Amino acid sequence: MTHAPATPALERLLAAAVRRARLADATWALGRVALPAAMVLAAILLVAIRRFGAPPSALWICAAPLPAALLWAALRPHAIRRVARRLDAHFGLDDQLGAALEFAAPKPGCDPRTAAIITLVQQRADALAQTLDPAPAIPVKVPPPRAIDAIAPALVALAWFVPPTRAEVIEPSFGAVLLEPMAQASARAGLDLALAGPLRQSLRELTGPKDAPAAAAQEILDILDALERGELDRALALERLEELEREIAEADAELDSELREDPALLAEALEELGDALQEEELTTKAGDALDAGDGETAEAALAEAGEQAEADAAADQQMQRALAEAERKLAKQADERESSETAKQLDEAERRLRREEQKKPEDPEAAAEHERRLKQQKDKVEQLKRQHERELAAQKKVEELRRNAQQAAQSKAGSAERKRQLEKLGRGMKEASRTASSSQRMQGAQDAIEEAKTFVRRSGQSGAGEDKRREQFRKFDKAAKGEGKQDGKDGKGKGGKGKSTLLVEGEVGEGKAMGQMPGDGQGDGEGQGQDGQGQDGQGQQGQGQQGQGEGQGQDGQGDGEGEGQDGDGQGNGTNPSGASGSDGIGEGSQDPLGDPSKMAAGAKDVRVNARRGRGVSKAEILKDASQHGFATEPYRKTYEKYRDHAQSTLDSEAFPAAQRRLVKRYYQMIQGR
Amino acid sequence: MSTAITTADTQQDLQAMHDDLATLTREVQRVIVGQDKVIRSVVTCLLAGGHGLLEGVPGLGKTLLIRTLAGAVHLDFNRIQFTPDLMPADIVGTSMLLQTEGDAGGRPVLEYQPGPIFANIVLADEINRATPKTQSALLEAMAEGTVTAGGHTRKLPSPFLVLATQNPLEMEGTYPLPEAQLDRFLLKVHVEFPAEDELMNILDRTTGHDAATVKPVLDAARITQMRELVRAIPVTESVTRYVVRVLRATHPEDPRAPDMVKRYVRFGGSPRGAQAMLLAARIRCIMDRRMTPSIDDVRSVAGEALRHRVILNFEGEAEGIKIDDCLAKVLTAVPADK
Repeated sequence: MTHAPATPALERLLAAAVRRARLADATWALGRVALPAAMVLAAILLVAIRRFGAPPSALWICAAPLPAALLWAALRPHAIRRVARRLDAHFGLDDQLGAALEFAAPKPGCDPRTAAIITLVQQRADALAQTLDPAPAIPVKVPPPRAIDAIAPALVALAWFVPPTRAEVIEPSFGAVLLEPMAQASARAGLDLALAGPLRQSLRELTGPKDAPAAAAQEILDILDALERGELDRALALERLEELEREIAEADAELDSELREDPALLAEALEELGDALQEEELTTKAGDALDAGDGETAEAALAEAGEQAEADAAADQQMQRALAEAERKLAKQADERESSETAKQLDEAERRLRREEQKKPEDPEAAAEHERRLKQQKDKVEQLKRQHERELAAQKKVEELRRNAQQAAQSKAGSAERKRQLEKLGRGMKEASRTASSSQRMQGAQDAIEEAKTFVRRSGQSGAGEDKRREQFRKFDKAAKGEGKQDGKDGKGKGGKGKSTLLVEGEVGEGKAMGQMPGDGQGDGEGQGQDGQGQDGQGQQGQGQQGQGEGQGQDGQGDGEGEGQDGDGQGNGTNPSGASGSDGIGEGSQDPLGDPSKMAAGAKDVRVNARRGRGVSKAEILKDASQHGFATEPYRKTYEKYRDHAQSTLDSEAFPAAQRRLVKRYYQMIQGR
Repeated sequence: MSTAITTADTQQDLQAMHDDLATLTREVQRVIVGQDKVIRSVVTCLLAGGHGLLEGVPGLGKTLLIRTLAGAVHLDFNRIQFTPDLMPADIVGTSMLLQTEGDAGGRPVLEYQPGPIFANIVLADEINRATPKTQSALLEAMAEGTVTAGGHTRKLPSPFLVLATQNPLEMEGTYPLPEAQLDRFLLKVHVEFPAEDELMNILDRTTGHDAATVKPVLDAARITQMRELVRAIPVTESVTRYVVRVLRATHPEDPRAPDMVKRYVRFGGSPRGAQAMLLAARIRCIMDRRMTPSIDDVRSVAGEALRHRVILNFEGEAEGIKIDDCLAKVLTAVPADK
């Protein structure tokens, strides 16, 4: 019902009363509805955030009831007649204010006496309105508490203590070093920086030259950075990496078709050559450059050394010794490579091919299978032939280098022959280095892409996968607590030149392999001299981070060094008489993952450059069924083949005992039943 | 006449009316102890120009109240004691054959002899004891203020007010008033048993030597003026609408009617009920020194104005439902206009 304007005083009174009513409404709505609702919402959202991964910004939703209540109070219609009636009722005015309001619009043609009474009514109402205060009639009261008012904050308090989904598996024994990166990884879309660090380092090493591996390395770095910043989706990152992988594979195939010599063999030869050159001060620089794979610098350094040798007799002697040593080492490598493993494999493959060709399948299905095997065998023979040819070419190249070194050594200082042979040697070194490094860089790029893909895939497994990983950590932690305090045992040195090929603690022979994984280095070193009179059996006790054992024979051939990078390594000189020595091989860690509680004690990531050992290496790329078809060979047969291969490698290589047990244990676990 | 003058005069009139009513009430209260509500209702009937039905057990002073009121106003007063053998002519009068004297030569002529109805205030005592035929003799007088007898319609004196009484207990040998006649009464007033103090006061006054007497304080002209002023009292639309809604809610078919009405009421109040409510509310507001009636005024008179107009159905009668309870539900159910 609308009303005509009443007297000014009455209008003011009613307007004030309406404002007061809105204030009272707002107070009621806030206290009775909005605050309990906000707290209940907050409780729900807290649970959602802690248990279901809702974003923390969702908490703003719980503030929504407050403006809603205020809006309701501001917009709720207040009939002015009802407000007047409320005031009348409170002050006992028998509806005088309300009647005056209604009489504001007088009916036409009403009795003069009635009109006069209406005027009197309005005057009376106006006089009353000037003396009235709406506050007592419309009190603004905070609603009395109810059960829900206590329940709502209790719910919030309970929700506050709801444990987060992933925080519960954190155990103090892991320490901040382990957990912080994991937490940061979770915060940044599961990006594991601890794993990405070495990868990035290796990628940065690949960058520099303007070739395909460098471009790929830079591209991978960009992808990782974008992924870390959250600018790139995981799926998109994987897609780009796979595209990169295809490009590198094409570049590798192209390089492979261009290669004439076996890069691995050349690399070994260059390493030997570099070692020989490093033995003399004059040619150290050239040796170092060769070791670093920088053929151009090596060539320049060798030319410079040649010039110095021309000027100085002592330098000339150094040059001669270095060249003679190079010639000797290259010749030795050539001798070792005479009976090439590839040639044997080629013979074997050709024999199998012939045998396969002689087979006559009886039915079409067998024919198809025969055809497939035949093709496979032919491909293998072709591949081995190509490899054999490259090895022969590489041997020829090595022989050429050896001859250059020999002739240079035999020629007089300053002679044209010396200069020419040195130039040839330098050029050969440069070409061989380029060939070896290009292949190595290509392989490095492929490895980096594969590692990056693994990293990206793992970065997305922040849910169940991460829980599983934490569970593994827990188990390792438990195991480490029970087993990590064992005493070190004497290493059984064999004193040789074997070179480590595994990522383990402790060095073997002359190799400088260092453990990448932390663990208990428990190595004892014993010196052993070839003549049986070694007097330098020494043990140095490593405490905490490393254990070292060192032994020296008189002729230096029995040098050994054992080093445990982490853990409770101990080194003892166990043979003071010096009657025997050791190669310094430690046992390595019982557990390759080491003691998780010790990770904070100075762990450092070291990239290991594995070297070819004396054992036979075998590599196979496992493809899935869609690429390669289903397995056609029985598991037992495959298992035996691999186990025998591993056994022969173990027999021929110098492995730490703990790693030896690990390999054996692995094959026990995968044995068919 | 300018509005300012009219306003002042009106204010004086209202004040004078209030004072006169207060004087009248005080005068009646000199004789009648307590029963203030009944006195107010009877005075309301007097000012509204409506008739009143007083219901109560014997000895509560119903007749005395009406006699006292009649004595307090300077008006003709007649009392009719209704009995089963009372005839209509006994009330309205009859034509009698009278011997003329003088020039007429002593010829007998029919001359109308007015009955006791011809008075300003008529007390119809124990009205339900008369037969329906006799009761119906009052219909014309109460509705139209005229009496028709012997082929002639005669106007009753003004103001004319019938105040009837009836006894709700002694039902044997009584004739309940028909609905049409009940509807002629403005208010039906229940006379309650006096409270303890009131009863002591009654004993003091009535058992001593000095009997209180009343003197007239109002005359017919003044009452007529006051009746005019009552009808000039303005009523707000919301009050009028409330009256209408209350009346409609007494009908079982009305959507606002409470369940009790829907279940036990056969027929609700007539439009005369609404008129009665509004008129009575106007007079109440003047009595309370106000210038316009409120919802509360309507509520205070609704029971007296409607209780004799609402008829219970068989179920309501059988279950002993009180009409006053139904009306209380109606007043609760009907909201005031916003």
